[in-house]
Amino acid sequence: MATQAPSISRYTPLVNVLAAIALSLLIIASNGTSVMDRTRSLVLDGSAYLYVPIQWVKTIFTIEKDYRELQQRHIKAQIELNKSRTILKENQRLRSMLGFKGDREFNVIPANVLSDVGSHTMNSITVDQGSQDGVTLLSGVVDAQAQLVGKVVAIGANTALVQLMSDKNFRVSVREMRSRDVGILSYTLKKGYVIQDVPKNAEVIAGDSVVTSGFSDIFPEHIFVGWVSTISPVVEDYVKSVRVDLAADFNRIEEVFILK
Amino acid sequence: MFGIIKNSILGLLVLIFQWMLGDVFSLYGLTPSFLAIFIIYIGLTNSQIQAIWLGFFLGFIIDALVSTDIMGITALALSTLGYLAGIFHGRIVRIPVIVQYLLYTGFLLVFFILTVMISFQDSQFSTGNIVFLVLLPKTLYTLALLSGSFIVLKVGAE
Repeated sequence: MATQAPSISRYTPLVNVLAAIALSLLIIASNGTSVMDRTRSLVLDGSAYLYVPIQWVKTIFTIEKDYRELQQRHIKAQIELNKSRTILKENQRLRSMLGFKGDREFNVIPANVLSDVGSHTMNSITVDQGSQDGVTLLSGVVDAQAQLVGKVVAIGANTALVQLMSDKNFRVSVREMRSRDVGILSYTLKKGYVIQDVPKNAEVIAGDSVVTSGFSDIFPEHIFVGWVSTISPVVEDYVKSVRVDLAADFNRIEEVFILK
Repeated sequence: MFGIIKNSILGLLVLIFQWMLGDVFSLYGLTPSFLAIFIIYIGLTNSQIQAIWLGFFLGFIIDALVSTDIMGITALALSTLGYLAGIFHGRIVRIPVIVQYLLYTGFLLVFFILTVMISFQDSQFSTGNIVFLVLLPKTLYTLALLSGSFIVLKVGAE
């Protein structure tokens, strides 16, 4: 008895999955191209239509509480500002005497958080300000207490995707306030937030404040990052690693400020 | 045609759920993948080709919405998952329950190996850490949710 040749339709799923895999690989290869960036900004802007009404309803319920908190903070901040103005003038006078260049000026764009997604692999939030509002790629992002939150990694016309500090790919150059030592802060699975490769003779102690160093074009200096929690003993390479507790609470973040 | 539209709408709802509420289910930073559960469900109960393409499009959208890494990995992983689950479409009920759950574990492992391992490839984490602290816990957590939902939906039962 003659055997029948297998029908072509038997291979349809295989052809489909190969086509889907080929398209996925094409997308992976096209990362960073203008077409992909445009497609992504379309999806991001589309998502805002979905989330903005929900965010608006949530805001109605919290607005009065937020207003009172802001009033209290405003008074405290005004007192601090008056002190700072005096110190700033003195500092500017001394810097000009020593011939230092002026600090980088920056503005802030307030933005509401539309959605947040967290996992061990990626951490990002979508905010309701985009290129039309003046947001640019790789702008630094801080919270309402001017504590570092992350940076903009993708933008749409009216939305932006912010990579949080808790993302595994996030790195920031930081300075330990007391000892003035500089290092790169990143997130590690086992140890959490760690400043790597701090010189073994650095006089870092638990509780010290950590701020941005200002060595990158993304973040200005002196943005508060967190506090030193523990310091690992020197094991090899004459360096130690310093664990840091972050100041920003990513679980409660509702509004952020994008540095421009 | 009605089935495709229905499953696409259902898929978008699952995507919105994953995107907006995925964090609510986060345990020690481990977020389960509801999209993976949905694609396995579609592959087993509806059609292999639908599972492949739904996986591709939903994966692409979620990548565009949240990925700070390479875009396209979730699309690749979900379409592969749809293909694998679809192989057992219509046959899953004839397989012993224990083997069914071994298969689900295998599907999820493939999905998380593709997403987690590729995503971590240039990180400073050791392979052991990635496997034992992320890959396996994520797989088991998603498997637990998948088991619960499949029992409720009577997937794999005659």
